[in-house]
Amino acid sequence: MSEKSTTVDPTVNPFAVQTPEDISAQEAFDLFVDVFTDFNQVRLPGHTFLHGPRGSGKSMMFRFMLPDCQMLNLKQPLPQHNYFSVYIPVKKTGLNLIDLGRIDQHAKYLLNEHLLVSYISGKVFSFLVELSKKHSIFNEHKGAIARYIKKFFNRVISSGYTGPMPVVTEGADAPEMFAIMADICDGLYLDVLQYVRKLIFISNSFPPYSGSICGYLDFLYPLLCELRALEFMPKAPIFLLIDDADNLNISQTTILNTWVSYRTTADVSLKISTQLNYVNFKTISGIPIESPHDYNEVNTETIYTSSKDKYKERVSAIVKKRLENAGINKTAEEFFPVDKVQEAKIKEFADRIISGEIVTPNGRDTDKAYRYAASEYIKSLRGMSKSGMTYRYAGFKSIVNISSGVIRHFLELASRMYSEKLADAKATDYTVIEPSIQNRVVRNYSEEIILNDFNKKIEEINQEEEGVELNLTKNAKLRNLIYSMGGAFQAVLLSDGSQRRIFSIALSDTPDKEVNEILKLGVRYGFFQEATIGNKEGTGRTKRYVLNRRLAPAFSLLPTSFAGYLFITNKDLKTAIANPKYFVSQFKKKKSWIDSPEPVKKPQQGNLFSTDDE
Amino acid sequence: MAEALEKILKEKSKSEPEAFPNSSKGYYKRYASFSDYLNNEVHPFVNQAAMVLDIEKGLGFLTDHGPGHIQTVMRRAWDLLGHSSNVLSGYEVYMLLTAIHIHDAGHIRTGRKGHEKASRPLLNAQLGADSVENAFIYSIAEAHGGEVVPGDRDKLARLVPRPFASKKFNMPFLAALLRFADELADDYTRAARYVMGEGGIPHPSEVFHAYAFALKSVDVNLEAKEVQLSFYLSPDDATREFGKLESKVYLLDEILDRTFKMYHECLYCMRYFPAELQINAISVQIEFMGDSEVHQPINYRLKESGYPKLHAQHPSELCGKDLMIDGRVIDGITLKERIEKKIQEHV
Repeated sequence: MSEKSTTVDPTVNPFAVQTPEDISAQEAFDLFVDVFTDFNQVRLPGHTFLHGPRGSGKSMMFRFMLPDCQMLNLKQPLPQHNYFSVYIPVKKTGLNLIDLGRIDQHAKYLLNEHLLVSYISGKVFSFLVELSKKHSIFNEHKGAIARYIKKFFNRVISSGYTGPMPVVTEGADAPEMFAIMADICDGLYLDVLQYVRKLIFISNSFPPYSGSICGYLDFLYPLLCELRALEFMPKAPIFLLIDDADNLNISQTTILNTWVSYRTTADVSLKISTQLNYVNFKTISGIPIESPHDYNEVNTETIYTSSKDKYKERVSAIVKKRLENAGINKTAEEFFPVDKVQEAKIKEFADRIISGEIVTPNGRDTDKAYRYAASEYIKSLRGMSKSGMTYRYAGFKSIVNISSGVIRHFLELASRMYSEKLADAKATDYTVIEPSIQNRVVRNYSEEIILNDFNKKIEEINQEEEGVELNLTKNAKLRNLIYSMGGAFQAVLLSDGSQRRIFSIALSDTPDKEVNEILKLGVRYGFFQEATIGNKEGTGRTKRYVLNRRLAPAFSLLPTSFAGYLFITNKDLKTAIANPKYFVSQFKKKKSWIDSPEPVKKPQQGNLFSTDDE
Repeated sequence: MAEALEKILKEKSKSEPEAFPNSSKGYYKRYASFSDYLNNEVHPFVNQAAMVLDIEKGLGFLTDHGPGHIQTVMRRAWDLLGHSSNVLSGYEVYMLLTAIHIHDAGHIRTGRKGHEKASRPLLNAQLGADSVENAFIYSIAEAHGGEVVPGDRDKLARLVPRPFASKKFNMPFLAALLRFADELADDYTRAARYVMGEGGIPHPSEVFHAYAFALKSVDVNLEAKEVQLSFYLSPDDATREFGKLESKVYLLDEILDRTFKMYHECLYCMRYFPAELQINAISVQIEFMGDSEVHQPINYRLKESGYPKLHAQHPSELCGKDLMIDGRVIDGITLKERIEKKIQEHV
C-alpha cells in the first residue's frame, strides 16, 4: 500500500484497549471487526455457551450485539432487528457473595435464583432506561409501556414484595417508567441481601425469611415474553448476554443450567460467556445439560488455535480498522514490518542448506531447508550474544503467533509498542513500528509474564506458608515445569535433530494426582493449552499440553508453526516439576530423543531418561 | 368436620415434633387458622370470581371449586395413601394440606387460565411463615396443571426433594399426590345439579357439569392397584349432545376422553409414587338408568397390556440426547464413517 500524508494524531494510541462496557455504540461500531462468521451460533436463536480466555473478544462481541450498535450496523429501526440483546455482566464481587454460603442449608436454590432473577431483571430495566433516553421509539409507545408496568407490578406483588410501590404519574415518559421498574428490582434484590447479612450475626439457626421470592419461570421469563410482545420490539427473541458466568457460585451455575434446560429459545435465548472456568453443567434436578441438545457451544480458543490463518485474518482486519480510525493507511504487515536484515540472513542459511554447505537431517530438500534455516541462524548467534546479537521478534505474523489466539494479547503488545514509539523523542514517523521496538516490547512482555506476574502469585502464597521451604507450592511447581519445558524445547531448537520445532508435551502414561493438578493449574492460568492426540500405542487418546506462545521469547524459541511434541512419562514430569536444571541437563544427554523427536501424528516409543540413552 | 389428613397433622404435630422445622410449635395452629380463613373467605367465592373474570369467554360457570372440592381432594389423597399415616411425615402432611388449600385459589385473581400460578400472594398474606417455605408449598400446588414453558407440560420433573431448615420433604411425590388426587376429585357433588335441570348452564360449560353429574363414585383400590369409576347415565343424557367450549360432544365421548386423560395423568404421577402405592389401571363402569334396560353396561379397563406400545418409533425419539454425537444421532452408517475418518487421520 502506498504511503500518503495522513492526519495522524500521534498522541492517540490506535491500540488502546478499552472496556467494551464503557464505550459508546459508535466507538464499538467503529472498532468491531465482524467475527460472527467464526461464531455464527452466538447471533442465532438458541442457548449458547461462548467459552474463551480473558481478552479473546467475547465482551466486544456482546457489545456489538446490543440494540444501539445493531441500529448502526443494520441501519434498521428496532422492530426490524433479528434479536434484542441485553448485557448482563457478572462481576466477581457481585452475585457471588461470600456470605451466601450461609444459605446453603436454607433454600440455597430458591434464594440464589431470586438473586439472579432480580439482578438480571434490574439490569434489563436499567439498560432500557439508557436506551430509551437515546431513542425516541420508546417514548412513541408510552401507552404500551404504561400497560406493561401494570403487569410488572402484578408480578412483583405475586413474588411477595412488600416494599414501596411508586405511583406512575400520567405524564411519565419511557425512561422514568423503566427506572421505576429498575428500582423495584433493586428492592427485590435487597430483600435477600439484607436477609443474608442478618444471618451473619446469628449462629445455628435461621430466622424466617419474609421477603420476596422471584423465580425464572414465574417472574423473569414471563416479564421478558411480555416485553418482547410490545409492538416496538423486534419480532424476535430476547438475548440475555451473560458475561463471565464463571464468576457465579456453584448453586447459581446450577440454576443457570436449569434455565438452559428450558425450551424458551424462541422467546428468550441465553448467551453465556465464560473464561474457561465454568465447570458445572448440572441442573437442580441433577441431570446435566448437554450440547447440542440443550445448547450450542463455541470456544474461541479452539477456533483460533486450530485455524491460525483465520485468527491472523481477524487480527489483520482489526489492525487495519484501528489504523484507519487513527488516520494511518497501512496494512498490518506494513505497520509491523519484519526485520529485513534478519530475514536476509535466515535466507542465506536456507541457501547454504540447499547448496549442501550446511548438512541437515533432510539433506538439501528446498522446502525443509527453511524449517532448519531459522534454527541454524539462532545457533550461529549463540557465540555472538555477548556482542548484543540475538534473534529479533518482529513482524506482524510473529506478534500474531505470540498473542496465542487472544486478541487482547495482541492489542496489548501493539499498544505498548506504540507507546514506546511515542516515548522516543527522535521519532517522526508514527506510521510504522520499527523491528527493534517490536523486539524489545515482545521480549519484555514475555519475561514479565514469568518474572513478574507469575512470581507475584508465588510470593503471595509463599508468604502465607512461611517456613515451609521444602514443601513447594503448586505455583512454584508449575513455574518449574514451565522452565523445564522451555529449557527442553530450546535444547531441541538448537540441536542438529530432524524435528526442531517442539512446543508441546504429550503424556505417555497416566499422570498422578500431583502432576495432574499442576497441569490443570497451568491450563487455568493460561500457560498451557490442553488438547488430545492419539497415544503411543495407537489404542486411544492421550492429553497434550501446548506451552503458551507468549512465553516463546522468554526461552528464545521460535513462535511460529510448532509441529512436534515430546512424549513424556509421569516419572519424568515429576523430575521436571521438582528440578528444572536437572531435568534440562538430563534431557540434553538424551541424544537419541533430540535426534528423532516426534512429529505430529507419528508418535513413537521411548522414555525421556531411559538408561540406554545415556 | 376435619378430614383424616387434618387429624393426622394434629396428632403428628404432638407426637413427632422433631419432624417439623424448629419444633412443631405453631404448625397445626397456623394450618388451622389458614384453613378456616380459606374455607370462609376464599373457597366459597372461587366460582363467583372466576365467572366474573372469564365471563367474556363464556367459561366462567365452573364445576364446584368451593370448600367441598378441597375436602374431596384431601379425601382422594388420603385414599391414595392407602389410609396410612406412616407414608408421610407430619411436616409433609402440613405441606400437602396447605398446597391443596391453595391449588385452585388463583382462580380468584386470573380466572381459569394461569390460575395455578396465581396463588402466591394469598399464601404469603394468610399463611405468614417463611417465604421460602411458602415458595415450596406454592411449587407443590402449582405443579397440578399448566405448562413449565409453552409446549412443555412436564412440571413434576422440575421438582426435587428439598430440605427446609434441615427437614426433608419429598416435593415431587407431594406434588404428584396432589395432582392425581385433584384429577380424581371430580364427581356428582361438583355438578350444579339444579341449574342443569333448569337448562341454565352456559353452552361452553355444559359437558363439564354433565360429566361430573354422571360420575357417581370414585374408588381407589390399592389391592387391585386401580381406580374404579362408576358412571350412571340417563337415556336422555346418553343421547343428546352437550356444549363444550365452542363445540358439542356426546357424554360417552367426553367420558372416554376424560378417563383416557386420567390414565395419562396416572402414568405420569405414578413415576413419583412409592412402589406400595402404585396404581396402574383405571377401571370404568358405565351404567344406564331407566325403567327397562336401555343399553347394556359399558365397562373398560385402561391398563398397559400386551406388547408395549409407544409413540416413539426409534430410541432417538426417547433419548436422542444420549445418542447425539457432534450434532447427529448416531447410527450404523454414521459410526462407520466416523471410524474410517479417524483411521485415515492416523495414517
